[in-house]
Amino acid sequence: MLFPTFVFGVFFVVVFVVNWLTRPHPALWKPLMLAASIVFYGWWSWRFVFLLLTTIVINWVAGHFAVNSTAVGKRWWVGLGVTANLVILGVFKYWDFFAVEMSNLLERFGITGALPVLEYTLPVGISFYTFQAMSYIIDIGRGNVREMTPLDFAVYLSFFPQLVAGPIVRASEMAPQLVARPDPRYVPAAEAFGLILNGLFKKVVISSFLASAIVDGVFADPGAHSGPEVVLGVYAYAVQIYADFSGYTDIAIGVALLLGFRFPQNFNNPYRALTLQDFWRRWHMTLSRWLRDYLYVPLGGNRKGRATTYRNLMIVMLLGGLWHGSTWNFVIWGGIHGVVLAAERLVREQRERSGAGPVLSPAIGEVVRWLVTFHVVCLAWVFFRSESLPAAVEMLGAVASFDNYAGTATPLVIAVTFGALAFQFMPTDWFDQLRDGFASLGWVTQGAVVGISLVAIDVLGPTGVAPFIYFQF
Amino acid sequence: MTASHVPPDPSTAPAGSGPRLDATDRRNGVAAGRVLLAGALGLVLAIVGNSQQLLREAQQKPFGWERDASVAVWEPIEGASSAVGLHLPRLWVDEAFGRSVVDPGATSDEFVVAAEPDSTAGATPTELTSSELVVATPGIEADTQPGGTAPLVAPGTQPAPDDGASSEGGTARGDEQPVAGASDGADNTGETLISAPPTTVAWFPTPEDPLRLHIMGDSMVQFFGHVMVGLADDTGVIEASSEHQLSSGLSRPDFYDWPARIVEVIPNTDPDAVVMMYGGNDAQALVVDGQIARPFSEDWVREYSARVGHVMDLVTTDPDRVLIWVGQPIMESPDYDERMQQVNKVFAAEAAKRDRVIYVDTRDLFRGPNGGFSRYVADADGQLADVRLTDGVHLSTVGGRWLSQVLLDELSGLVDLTSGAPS
Repeated sequence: MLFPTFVFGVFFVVVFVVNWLTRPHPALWKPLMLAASIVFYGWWSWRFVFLLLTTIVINWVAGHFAVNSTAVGKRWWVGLGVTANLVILGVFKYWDFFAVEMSNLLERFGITGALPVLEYTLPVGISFYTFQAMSYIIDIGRGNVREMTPLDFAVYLSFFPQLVAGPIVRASEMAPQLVARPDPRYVPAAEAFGLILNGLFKKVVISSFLASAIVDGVFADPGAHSGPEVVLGVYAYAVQIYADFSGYTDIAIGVALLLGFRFPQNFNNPYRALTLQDFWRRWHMTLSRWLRDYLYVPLGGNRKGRATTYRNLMIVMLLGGLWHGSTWNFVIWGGIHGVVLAAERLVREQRERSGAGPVLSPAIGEVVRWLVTFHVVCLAWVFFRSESLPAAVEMLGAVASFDNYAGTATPLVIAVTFGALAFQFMPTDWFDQLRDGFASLGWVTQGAVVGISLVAIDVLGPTGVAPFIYFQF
Repeated sequence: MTASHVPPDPSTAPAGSGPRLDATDRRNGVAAGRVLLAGALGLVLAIVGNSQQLLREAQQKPFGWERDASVAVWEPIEGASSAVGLHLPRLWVDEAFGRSVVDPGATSDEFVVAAEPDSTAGATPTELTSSELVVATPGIEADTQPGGTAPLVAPGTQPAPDDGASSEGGTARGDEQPVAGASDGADNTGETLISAPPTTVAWFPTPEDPLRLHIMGDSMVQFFGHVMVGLADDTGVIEASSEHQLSSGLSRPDFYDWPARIVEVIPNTDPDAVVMMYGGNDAQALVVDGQIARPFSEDWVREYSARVGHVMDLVTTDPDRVLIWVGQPIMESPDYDERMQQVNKVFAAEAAKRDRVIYVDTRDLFRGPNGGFSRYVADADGQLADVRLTDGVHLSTVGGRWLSQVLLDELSGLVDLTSGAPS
């Protein structure tokens, strides 16, 4: 079920009413919320509901035995739980990549048919809910979270607003909210409606427009476009993927707010970052902190010397790339981020050691740093978006061409792309002001604003709704 | 574009803490009942304001109970909305944006194949509509090709293949066609079957006098059209273009009217060769004489065959033009694959009736090591290549390159494409 559809609108009205009517009765509310989440997920494919339920059972059982074991037993159960999650993820997401690469390698030595290719359909959202499940298991092992009841855990892991594309909500954030009973007299509707409408606008209007107006065409056939168009296409993709993913996140957070839950923030104007480190504090923040807390820090973080720190950065970013998908393109995407993160750290440390002052004036220095950071991010997006490695190389090669102007760099495309980038630098209190203004309206006016906004979004967007980009991860 | 609330740093927060509704929410919060009223009002206004579009989308669903139910829901809402003029704001905005505004009530379920033998070659979009389209017979008089180029094919009678999928007689290029995959080297044991090849004539396109190629179709073309355009451009003697319409086909002209588009684009671009790929969205019920024809029933096959033949005739009205019709590849879903085999039979049979239509069967090109569907197919070097997308339907760039090479090989069997090659 996609958020920006009429079917979801009807589904959510029903869930909203049931939620607030049954919330005072947890024994009733929890099964109903679990059922709602299963319907939401099963709308896409009932087969994979069973995989979701299996993940729930495995992780709860592992967590239960970990809690009730000795220190050694706890490590075993946590290890078993994490391994089970990685096996599920590996079978559905990574096996074919490995099998094909190995088969092609062995074929060169005359060994054929060595590894079978499974070709399983990738279950929507598997990377998100598997990472959430692992966070629960690991936090149980660390003593950072109490054991949840089976029903609480099932509601947490399957909770439909964040099930298929995040944000990655930790058990320690969700468990208290499952126990709490929010007051139905105080639903933060203004903020929720604002987030939902903002997210719909970003997805249906901005993302869809840029995809169809320039991005899809440029990435499909870069040779048929001039270099400036290719560059604009990459900039536009940077805006498109932000609008698409953060749009989904906004809707998810807004929907959860209407049900009485607050999710963590997932984006904070990432394209205003002046360093790549800053970028990762602003982009897909819940994945960043997951990788930091469950991978980077356990590897030793920056506590074991410079070489180990750089190695850890590379490992985290390469695995972060693989989290998105099992292709060399995603590995290179992660590799670019890892190398530049390490380089930034190296330069910073050397400057600190030498005591050298800034080379450029602060203002010019900020502009240069922004330009470098943004273009590194865009360079990595080329690999992220391209279907294959040769296609990415072709994209980069086409940048230098000044022939074949295809007419895609229209004033509207340029305005939307650079307008959206400029918007990242605006003060963020506009949202609070809008929220407060909306909150002061009567319900009839609020309804009219919502209705007119929905019509406007539908008018401005293309017919039909493309799936969110991050559904594939 | 981003919410301003910032959660506490989880790395420093105690266990069990996290973002949750707080005192600020209490200050700004309103009662759930009021939220429901505002939200429901907003949804109702959105539905009423978009009622024409919603009805149109319902009408475009495949014929069946789901479409009937959707139309039954949206029709009275659209009627009420139109009666009081609540649909007008959206209409005005659509007009301001220059979008086509379609009255749902005027949408036709019927695909009209008129028998008017008028010339279509020089028709403009304003001169012909889909309801006025003609069925051009193979023998119809048509305009001579402007520009003075030699014809791509010489009209001639080709014996119809047995099953419409392989050729007998003629130049028998189906037998000569190398194993699919061509330059990328598909290492398949099967052949890409070519039906009813036209007689080859000597014509040597040059960079100054290129062969004009136009590719048309549904989402399959989205994924291979651009690749073929690129490969065609690389020959130096082909001027290629491509267009596609997602979710379209020949079953539902009320969704997208391909015959009307053909009448619009073909006379204007005057291609020497056209590549078409349809059928992926066509295994659905049709309206025949006001009655619903279930997919692959006798009435359905008769009607769909007429539509396919009609499109083939529209393209080949000019006797100097050749049409390459691409069959659907093997699909992941067995049910869907069975349906695609059925539409392929229609394509092959209709192509076999026409001497300027070449049918290219692609099933063997993308057959996996196990003989069925596979995303990964071995090339000539035995290396597995990812030729399909994860949806089990569309072609990847590599798969698109394989298919494009087969189609270009087919063209090179008709004309010499080597004069543009760098010496």
